[in-house]
Amino acid sequence: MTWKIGSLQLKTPLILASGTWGLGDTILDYLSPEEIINSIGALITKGLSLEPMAGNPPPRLLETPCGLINSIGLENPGIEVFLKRYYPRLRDLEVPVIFNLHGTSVDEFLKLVRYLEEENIRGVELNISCPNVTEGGIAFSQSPEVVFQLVKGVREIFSGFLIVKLSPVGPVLEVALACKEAAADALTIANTYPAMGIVSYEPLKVIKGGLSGPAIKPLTLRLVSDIISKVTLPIIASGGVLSGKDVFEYLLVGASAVQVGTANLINPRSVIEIHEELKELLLRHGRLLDKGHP
Amino acid sequence: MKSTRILENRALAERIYLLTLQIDEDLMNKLSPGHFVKIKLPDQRLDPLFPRPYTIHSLIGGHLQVLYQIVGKGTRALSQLTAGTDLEILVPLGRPFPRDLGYPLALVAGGVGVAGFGFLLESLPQEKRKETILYYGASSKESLVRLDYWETFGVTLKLATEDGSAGYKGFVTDLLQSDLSERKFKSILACGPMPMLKRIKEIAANSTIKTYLSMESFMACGTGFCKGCVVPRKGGGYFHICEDGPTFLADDIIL
Ligand SMILES: Cc1cc2nc3c(=O)[nH]c(=O)nc-3n(C[C@H](O)[C@H](O)[C@H](O)COP(=O)(O)OP(=O)(O)OC[C@H]3O[C@@H](n4cnc5c(N)ncnc54)[C@H](O)[C@@H]3O)c2cc1C
Ligand SMILES: Cc1cc2nc3c(=O)[nH]c(=O)nc-3n(C[C@H](O)[C@H](O)[C@H](O)COP(=O)(O)O)c2cc1C
Ligand code: FES
Repeated sequence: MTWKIGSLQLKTPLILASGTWGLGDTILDYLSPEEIINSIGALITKGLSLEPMAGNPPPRLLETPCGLINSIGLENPGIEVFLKRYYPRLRDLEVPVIFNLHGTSVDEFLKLVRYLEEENIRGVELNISCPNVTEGGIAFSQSPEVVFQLVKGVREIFSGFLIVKLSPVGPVLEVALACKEAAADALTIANTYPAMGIVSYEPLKVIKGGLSGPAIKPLTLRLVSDIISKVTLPIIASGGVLSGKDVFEYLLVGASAVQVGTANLINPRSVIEIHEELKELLLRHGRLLDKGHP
Repeated sequence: MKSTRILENRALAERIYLLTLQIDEDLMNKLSPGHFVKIKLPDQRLDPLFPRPYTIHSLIGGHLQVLYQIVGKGTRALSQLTAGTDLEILVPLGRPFPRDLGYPLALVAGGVGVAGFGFLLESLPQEKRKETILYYGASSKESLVRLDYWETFGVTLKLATEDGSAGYKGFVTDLLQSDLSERKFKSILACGPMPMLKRIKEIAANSTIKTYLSMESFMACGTGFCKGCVVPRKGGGYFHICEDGPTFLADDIIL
């Protein structure tokens, strides 16, 4: 069976989500190349910026009931170092690698994409939804007009597969329509939900970050379903997948593929288990996926 | 993750437990002192969502032992499991204790921070154990656990309790500091609560003793995947406690 997100063909509908499998340098400690090829349809890199980013000071994490608040702040070595030091080993895995990009302005995004064109990289996910940076990130998601300019600009110089990763908050539908109009190839729905937690009372330490994990799955399932009914672009779901059942439900409401994020943190081999569970569900209920979307 | 079975899960003090897990020889050969293990609770529970990290305490008798203290929901749930329960573990994680420890060596432990020193002492030859002093502090006598076990190594054991119910009355760091003038330690290796580690870093800053601190933080992954478990690095940027540590040269980190 092959899976399609528009023109992109995948061996399975499971994608490793940005920022939840490190920079990829240790993935082979936990999964064999065969397991990766057989279970994972595509890999999405950590959010990459033009210059290296040190990330936010601690605390960066807080567990909440059935969820995780993170405020990593896009720690990454920068696009150049990533291409040189980390990408070659990922490319050798022969699974499509999609570059998750973070820019603080339209101009920065365009520079990043030019790098990728030169390196003949065929997949990009524009991160306009990170809640943990002061510039760029989620600020884009407030303005459908800015998103339109951004996606249009990238589209003009990038011939590969272009995904935009939306925030689950703000004018989501308007932003989605703007991406469609600017000729994006697909949307990822969605990034984490802006959230806050109290880490300690004395001294008072709080964390403001993004909520992920099973706590958000019903919310993102609803959002995916709503957007699919109104926007004719392939949708990649991302939010709270822990099991094959979670993936199947996203497919059932019409998602073309599904990202696995926080589950990789709980167990680096989660995606293998999820794939096994999904295969069984597809055998039993796969016919439901051809019947349109509830 | 690997499957394992609980052989014993025994209370040693009011909130301190010793967990014994069955492991195979293959896995045992991969483990070094200072490594840690992530333990997943056995059912499909979503809360707590993340398996908790624990230092490997001992490998005696071909079993993996963990010494842990109940501090929240994950450790409480672990304490309620009984022998025969199957669990999943991810191990080895982190980097082992440094190999360049000098002797005489001071091991400094606060509370269950003592855990990792068991496996370390088990691996040391007799002559190095004789040159090791274990400073072990806790709130009271009841919380100083496994004293018989520590004594089997022939190390010098120096105890401190905050309430004075055993050993020196006060902090283990004061005990260490008062010894520094007469004992010429080459290395210090410390594990315990943050205030203790900060104090040791201060003490060591005025000396030439090679000082290592074993750090803790909440961990989502333990594998370097999330980049969440950071400690500021001298000279800028951050270390990730799970993949670059958990043990660091005191000089390299900012507490
Ligand atoms: C490498 C490593 C080795 C360890 N080895 C041992 C060991 O051998 N024995 C042992 O007993 N313990 C060990 N620990 C600590 C142990 O992992 C924790 O005690 C355990 O995770 C607590 O889980 P819990 O669900 O019981 O507590 P939780 O419910 O998670 O809460 C524990 C406490 O931590 C606080 N907390 C949670 N998140 C944060 C944050 N981001 N910043 C500050 N505070 C926070 C909570 O408020 C609470 O007071 C180790 C930790 C690490 C990182
Ligand atoms: C620790 C962590 C780091 C993340 N880093 C990024 C990132 O760099 N870029 C990005 O677009 N999303 C990032 N995300 C969001 C995830 O890719 C994913 O969209 C989100 O967590 C929701 O899915 P989940 O519930 O399956 O984790 C991160 C999430 C987590 C938990
Ligand atoms: S806990 Fe995730 S990187 Fe250390």
